[in-house]
Amino acid sequence: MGSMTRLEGPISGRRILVTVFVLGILLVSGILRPVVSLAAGNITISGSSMLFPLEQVWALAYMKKHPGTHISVASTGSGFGIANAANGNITVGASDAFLTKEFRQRYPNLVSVPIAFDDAQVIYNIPGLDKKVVLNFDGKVLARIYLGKIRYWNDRQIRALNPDVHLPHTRIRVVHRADASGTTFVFTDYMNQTSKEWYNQVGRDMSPAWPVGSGYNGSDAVVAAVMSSPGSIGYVGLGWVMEYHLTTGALKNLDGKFVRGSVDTIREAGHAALKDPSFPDDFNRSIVWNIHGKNVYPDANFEFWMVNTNLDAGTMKEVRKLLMWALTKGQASKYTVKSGFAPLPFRPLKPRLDKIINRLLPGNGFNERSPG
Amino acid sequence: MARMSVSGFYAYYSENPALRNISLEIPDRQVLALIGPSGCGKTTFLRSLNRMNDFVKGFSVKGQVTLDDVDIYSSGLHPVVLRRRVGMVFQKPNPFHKSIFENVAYGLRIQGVRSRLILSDRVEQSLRSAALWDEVKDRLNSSAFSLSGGQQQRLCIARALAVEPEVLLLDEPASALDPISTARIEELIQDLKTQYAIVIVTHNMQQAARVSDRTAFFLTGEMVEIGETSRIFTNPSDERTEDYITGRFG
Amino acid sequence: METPESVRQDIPKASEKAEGRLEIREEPDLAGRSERLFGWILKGGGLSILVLFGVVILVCLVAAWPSIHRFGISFLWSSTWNPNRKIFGAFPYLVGTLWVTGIALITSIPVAIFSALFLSDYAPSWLSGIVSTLMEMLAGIPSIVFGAFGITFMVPLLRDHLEPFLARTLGTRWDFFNGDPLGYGILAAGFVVGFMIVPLVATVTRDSLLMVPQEMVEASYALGATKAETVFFVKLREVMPGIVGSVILGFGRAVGETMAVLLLVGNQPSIPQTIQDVGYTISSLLANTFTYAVIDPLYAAAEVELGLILLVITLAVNTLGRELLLRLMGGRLAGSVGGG
Repeated sequence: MGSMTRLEGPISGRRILVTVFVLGILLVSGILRPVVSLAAGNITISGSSMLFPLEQVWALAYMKKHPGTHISVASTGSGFGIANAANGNITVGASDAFLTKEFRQRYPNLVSVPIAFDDAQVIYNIPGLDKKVVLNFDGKVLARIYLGKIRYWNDRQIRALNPDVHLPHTRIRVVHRADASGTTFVFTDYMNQTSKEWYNQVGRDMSPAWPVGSGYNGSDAVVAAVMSSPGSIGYVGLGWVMEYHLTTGALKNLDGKFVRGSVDTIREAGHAALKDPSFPDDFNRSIVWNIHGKNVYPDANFEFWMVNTNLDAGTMKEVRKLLMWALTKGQASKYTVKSGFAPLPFRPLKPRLDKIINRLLPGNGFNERSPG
Repeated sequence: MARMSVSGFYAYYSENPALRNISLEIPDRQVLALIGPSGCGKTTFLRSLNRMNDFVKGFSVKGQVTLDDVDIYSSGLHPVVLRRRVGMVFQKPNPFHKSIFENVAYGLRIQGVRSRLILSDRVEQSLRSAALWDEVKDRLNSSAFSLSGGQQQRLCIARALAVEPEVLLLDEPASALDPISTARIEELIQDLKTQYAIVIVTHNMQQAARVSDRTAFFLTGEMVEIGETSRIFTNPSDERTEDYITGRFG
Repeated sequence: METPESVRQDIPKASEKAEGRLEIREEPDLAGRSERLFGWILKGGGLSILVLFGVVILVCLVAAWPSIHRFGISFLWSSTWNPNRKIFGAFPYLVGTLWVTGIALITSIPVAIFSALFLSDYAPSWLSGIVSTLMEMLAGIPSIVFGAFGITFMVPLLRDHLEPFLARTLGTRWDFFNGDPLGYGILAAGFVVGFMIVPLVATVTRDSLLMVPQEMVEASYALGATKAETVFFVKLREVMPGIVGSVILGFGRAVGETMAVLLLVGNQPSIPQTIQDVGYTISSLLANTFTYAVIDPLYAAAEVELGLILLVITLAVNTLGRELLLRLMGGRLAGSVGGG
C-alpha cells in the first residue's frame, strides 16, 4: 500500500485513496445497503432455525389458500431475525427468545407475537444405565454440572435427586450448542432463575460463555455428540426429542414436582402462564419456570414472530392476515406437533393477542373465531 | 595399459540399433576424443561406459565392456560402484542447489564419509585439481549458482574428481561456455590426463585436435576409424573421416 | 497487491506522449489504440483488486473499531469471552487456531511429501495416473464432506483407539497426552484439516519433482548415488521452494478452514491442556455466532477484529514464506544471471 504515493498518471495515488475511502464510508454508513422490496403480498420471514420447519409447512399451506400472497422463509438465526426485522430488511423476524429489556430499548418498534410452544429438555448418555431410566434434575444440580463443579455421574448431589438409580463413576461430558441458539436461551434461563451460581457466573444468553464442555453447531450435532460420547449430557428442543425418541430428564418445577417435557406438559405450562395475571401482556417473558401447577414443565417457552410497527399499511394487513391464520388454523397439530412444537392454547391467549394486533394495526382486534 | 576396453559392442533403443560393433581401448593417462556428426552415437557410447543409459526405457546392449578386465554389464558389478570409478561431466553445467562445498562433498557424503577433516581436505584437493580453488576458497558456503557458467562447469569437474574415479567421461564439457572458459577447461583436461583415463565427446574438431591423444570418428552408429589424433586429422585412412574433418558434412 | 503495480509500470504514460512529442509515436494507429485499450483493461483489473482490498480492510477496521478502541492490544491475550458482560478476548481462539493449524501441517506435510515422491519417482505410471487423479479429486471435495467424514470416522477412531492409546503410553509420562478421550477436539479437527491439505501440498510437490531437470538427477547418479540418495538429497532439495510455497497455501487453507473444523473441534473457548482437549478456532467462532453478534455493536466488533487478526496472521505467514522462498531460490536467480 505504501507504494501508492509513487504513482502518477491519469489515476493518481491520492485519487485511489479517496475513492477507496469514499466507497468504504458509503458501505459502512449503509447507503449501499441492499434494499429489500417489501411490496404488499410479499412476505419474507427470516430468523430462528428452530422455527424454520414449521414456517415452511405454514408457508406452503397458506400460499395454497391465498394465491395472491408470496411467503419466503429463511433460517438465519434468531439474532439475525430480530435485527433485520428491526431495520426493515425483512417483514417478519422469527425468534426463539423474547425481547429482553436491552432489545426492547434498542428496537422499540418491534412487537413480539407468540406463535407456538417449544421447550428445552435434558438428554444424557450414561454407560450401564438402562435407556428407559429417567433422571431427575433441578436447576442447582444442572447448573453445577454445566459449571463443571459436578464432574461425575455418581456425585452425591445427583444421587440425592435420584435415590433409586444406581449411577456409575463416569466422568460427565458437558455438551452445549456452539451457535447462537434459542434452545440455549431457554435452557440457560431455567438455570438462571433457579441457581444463584449460574446467575452470578454465566447468566442467560443465546450464546453464553460456557465454562466447560464442548460445543456443537445445531441440535442435530448435539444429539449426535451426546449419543456417541459415553457420559454426555446435553439439551435439545421438543422436536428433536420426538424425532429421535430420546429419553429425557425430568426437571423440578415450582411445586417441587419432577416433570418431563412433552406436548401435554408444555401446554399445561402455557395454560397456567396465561391464566396467571402477572404474566406480561407483551410477552417479554417467555419462560414459564415460576408457574404453579403439578404437571407444568418448567423449561417451556414461546416461539415468536417479531413484527415492526413501521411496516406500511398494505404489508401490515397481509401480515395480520397471516398471523390470524397461523394463530388459529395454523395451530392444528398436523402443522405444529408434526414439526416438533406444541400448539398454543387459543382461548386463554385471545385477550393478549387482541392487544398485540391492536398495537400493530390500531382498531383491528383479534376477531376470528377459535379454531375448530 | 588399457583401463577400459570395448569389443563387439552393440546398443539398441528398443530394437533400433544405435551402436554397431564398436571395439576400442581406453588407455590410462590418455585422452580419447569421440567425434562425429549429431546422432552418430558418440554420446550413447560415452554413456554406455558408466551405464548412464540404464535409465533410458528400452535400452539394451550386446557385446563386452570391461573395466580392469571386469565386464561392467554382466559381471554383477553394481552400477553404483561402477559410476564411482567412472566419473562423468555433462554438456551443461549442472551443479546442485547446495553450497560450493556441499556440491563437491556430495559424492563423498553418500559414500558415508562423515569426518569434517577428510571432507574439507578432499574438497580442497578436488577444487585445486579443477583449478577452481583460488577463485572460490573464500566463499565455499555460497550457493553453487553464484558462480559463472565456466566456474560451474569446473565445479562439476571437481565434484566428479572428489570421489576419485579412475576414468573420467566428458560429454561436450565446453559446448555451453564462452571461449575463455573453454580454454581453461581444455587446459584442465591436459592437467588431469596425468592421473586419469579421459574420454571426451566433442563437436569441436579443433578442440579434439588440441586436447586428445587419440581420436575415434563415429558415423551412424558405427566407429569408422580410430587412431592417433595427429594422424586422424592429417591423414585419415577413411574417406568419410576426411570428408567430416574437412567440413564437407556434419 | 502485486498485479496493479507491475501492470502500471508497463503502461506508457499517456499524458507525456500527448504533449509535443508526437515524433516518437511511430506505432500504427490501430495497434496503438488496441494496445492502449488492452492497457486500460489491465489497469482496471489491477485497480479493482486494490480497491477491493482497500474497501475490505477499511470496512473491517471501521466495524472492528469499538473493540479495538475498548480493549486495545490486550485483546490478544485476554482469555475472557463473555458477550453477556461485554468482555471480549481473543486468546483462546488464537491458541485454538494455531493448534488446529499446527496439527494439520505436522501430520499432512510428511504424508504429502512421501506420496509426492512415490507418485513422481516410484509408482508405475498407470498407478501414478490413477492416484494423481484421485488426489486432484480429493482437493475438490467440499469441506463439509470432510467434516462429515471426520464425525463418522475420525471421531470414533480417536475416541476409542488413538486417544486412549496416547493416554496409556505417552500419557503415563507426560500429562499433556493424558486427557479425556472425547474424540472431538483439536486432534480430530487438525487431522481432518490435514487430510484436506495433503492433496494441495502433494500435487504441487509432485509437479515440482517432475520438473526437476534430468541433468541434475544424472549428475547425482554419475557420482555413484543410489536412487534413494538421489531422490532425498538432490530432488527433494531441488523442490524445496515448491514445497515451501505449497505449505504456505496449506497454512492459509488450514487457518481459514471453517466447516470441517466447526464440526469437529468442540467449539469450547478454553486453552487446550492436553492433546485430547477441545478448542475453538477463529473461523469456527465467526461461523457459529456472527449472525447473532450483529445485534450488539461491541460483540460484532470483537468478532470482526478476530477476522482481522486472521487476515494479519495469513499475511504475515505469506510474507515470511516469500522471504524463505527468495532465500531458497536466491542461488537459482543469481545462477541464471551469472550463467551467460
